[in-house]
Formats: sequence, C-alpha cells, structure tokens
Amino acid sequence: MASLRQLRQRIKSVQNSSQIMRAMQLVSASKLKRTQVKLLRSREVMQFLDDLLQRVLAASADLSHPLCVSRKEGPCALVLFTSDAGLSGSYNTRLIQLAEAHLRRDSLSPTQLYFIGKKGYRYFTKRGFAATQAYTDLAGRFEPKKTLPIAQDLMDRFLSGKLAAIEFLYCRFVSAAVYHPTIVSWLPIQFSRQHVADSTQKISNQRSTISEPTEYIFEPSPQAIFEDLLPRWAMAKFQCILLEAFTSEHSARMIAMKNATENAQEILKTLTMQRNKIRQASITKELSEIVGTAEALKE
Amino acid sequence: MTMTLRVLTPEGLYMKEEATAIRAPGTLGYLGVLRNHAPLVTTIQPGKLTWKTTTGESHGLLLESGLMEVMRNQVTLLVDRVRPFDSSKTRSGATP
Repeated sequence: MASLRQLRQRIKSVQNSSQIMRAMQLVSASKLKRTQVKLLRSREVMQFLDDLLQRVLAASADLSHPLCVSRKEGPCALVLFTSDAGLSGSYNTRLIQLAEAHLRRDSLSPTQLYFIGKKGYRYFTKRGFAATQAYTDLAGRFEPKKTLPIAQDLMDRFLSGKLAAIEFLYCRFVSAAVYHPTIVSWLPIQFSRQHVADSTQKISNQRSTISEPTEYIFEPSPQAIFEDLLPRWAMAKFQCILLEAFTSEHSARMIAMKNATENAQEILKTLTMQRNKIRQASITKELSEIVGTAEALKE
Repeated sequence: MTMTLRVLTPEGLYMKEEATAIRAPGTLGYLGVLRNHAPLVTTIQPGKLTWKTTTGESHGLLLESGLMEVMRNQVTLLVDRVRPFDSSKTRSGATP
C-alpha cells in the first residue's frame, strides 16, 4: 500500500485536474449555448430557402444554373469538419472513422481532401493523404469574415470546373448529448424530382383543404429567381453545416468533460477512503504501542 | 386583418411583426402587399421596406438585395443585410 504522503500527493493532483475539467465543462457549456442559438437561427433561414427552392422548382421544369450542373469527369472533393482542439471525447474519432470508410468505398474515383479543423488534417496527412486545402484557424468560433471566404473558394473551384462534386462530412447536431456524423452532398445542388413532386402534392393537398390557389407569381421570372436563390442557398447551407459541426463539437466536449469530472470525483472518493484508512491504522498502531508500553511499565 | 411580416438575414431572424400593409423594393419596382395577396416570389433590390403595424404606426428598414415570398398572409424576406431606418431623422434631413 502507498504511503500516506504519496496518497496525499495523488489526491491533490486529482483535485487539480478535476477543477480544470470542471472549468472546461462550463466553458464548453456556454459556447454550446451560444452556437446553438446561432444554429437554430441558421436552420430557420435554411428552412425558408428549402421551401422556396421547392416552390420555384415545382413551378417551372426547365431551370438551369451552373451550380447544379453535374459533371462526369474531374475529382470529387470531401470536406471534413473536425475540431481544432482535442479533449472532446469520441467526436473526432467518429468523424475520422466515417471518413476512412467513405474513402475506402470511393477509392476508385480520385477524391481531393479539404479539412476544416486541425484534428482531421493531422490524422490524414500523417497517414499519407494529401490535403488540398486545410483551414485550421477557426477554433470552433463562427465568424462570417473567416468562414464565408472558405465557402466562396470552394464554390469557385466547382464553378471553374476543377471539381466535379463537393461533399461535406460533418456531425449533425441533434441534442446536447446526441450528434450524428453525416455525409451530405453540397454541390452540384441536387433536388430529386420525386421529392419535388411529393412536396407540391403535399402543398396542394394542404391548400385544397383551405381552398387557396396554387399558382405563384414570379417576379421577374422563375429563372431569375432561381439564379438569385441558388448561391444564397449554397452559402446558407455551408453556414448551417459549419454551425452544426461547431455545436456538436462543443456539446461533445461538454459531455466528455462532464464525464471526466465525475470520474475524478470517484477516484477522489476512493483515494480519500484509502488515506483515512491508513491514517486510522497508524493512529491505532500508536495507541496500542502506548498502551502496551504503559502495561509493561506497570509490571 | 393582419399579415405576419418576417425579415431574415443569413444570420437568422431579424424581426417578426404583425402588419396591415407592406411596401417592399422589388426588382421591377416597389410593390405593396395587403392581406390576401396572391402567392408571390420576387427578388428584392436595395431599398427601403416600410410597413404599417396594427396600431397604425409606420416603420421602415433599409434592405440590401434579397428575396421575398408572400404566401397565405405570411410575408417573408431574406436579405443580405438590414439596417434600421430612422424615419424622423431622414425626413427632417430631406426637407430642409
């Protein structure tokens, strides 16, 4: 068994780290709250744009835009959203696992890798993957000044024909404890006609019950609206996904730090128990020695 | 007899209010929206959005370009940027 002094040292160090982890948990919690508000607002904008896109598509069949042209040749791009800082539990591991599985599946077609976040960048460059571009200075903070140029850059690469498709791999935020690593395709903007037909049917069904017209007036024209709408949609989508990733990151870190704090408390409990036992044992030993000596002196 | 006016920016909802009459800077010119307007989607050019609240006050906002949708007495605008518009200041400045 360890000596009393060693135990005291360990207790002290566990206490210190538990304090730090508790502080980190609180910091993450407040960051989570802030980004979550932004995410919900961004989702609202996305919802509006999605609905609008569906309606414009339903109104006119032959719309075209460079952002939704699918090309056969050319490399695809995978943009991997990970965190810059560690200590976030299994957040990055799960993302990297999904990325590896995805890359293995698509090993035939050339895929360019883009990284947002240090962790994914380090992992893949160490294993011999070439990073086309890495953005590692966001640190979980959403700043339009830094993030919108990234989206613009990616979009330009797509429009100039250097990339045939762009996919995002990120964590979708569900609740403070739940997030799902997901892959979504960003460009070319895809909309399944089936889905369009379904949604218009739904809308017209809704409308028929309240007897409102289904015809939309488009000013100046559906094509003009479409052209204005698509870049906005793409930008909003990027922003929304970035916020999903950041919100998941903060929630993952908060949960990880909460678990760590709880574990530290548990260790602290057993260590304190041990310390008390040893202390008690030494007291008992001393007492029995004193009593023994007193008995011996009596004789 | 009101409509719901929502103004969105890429950052999220800027404001939401009940209004009786709305005037917006469409690409083809200013357009007015009253209750039970036909469903409409239009692009917005930079300009001034004005609306009348249920109490009869009129308010204004300066918009940058964007999109507007009118559907079932829901008027939603999505614009790049919004600036508050101080009507008293401009009016006194405009009429010296």
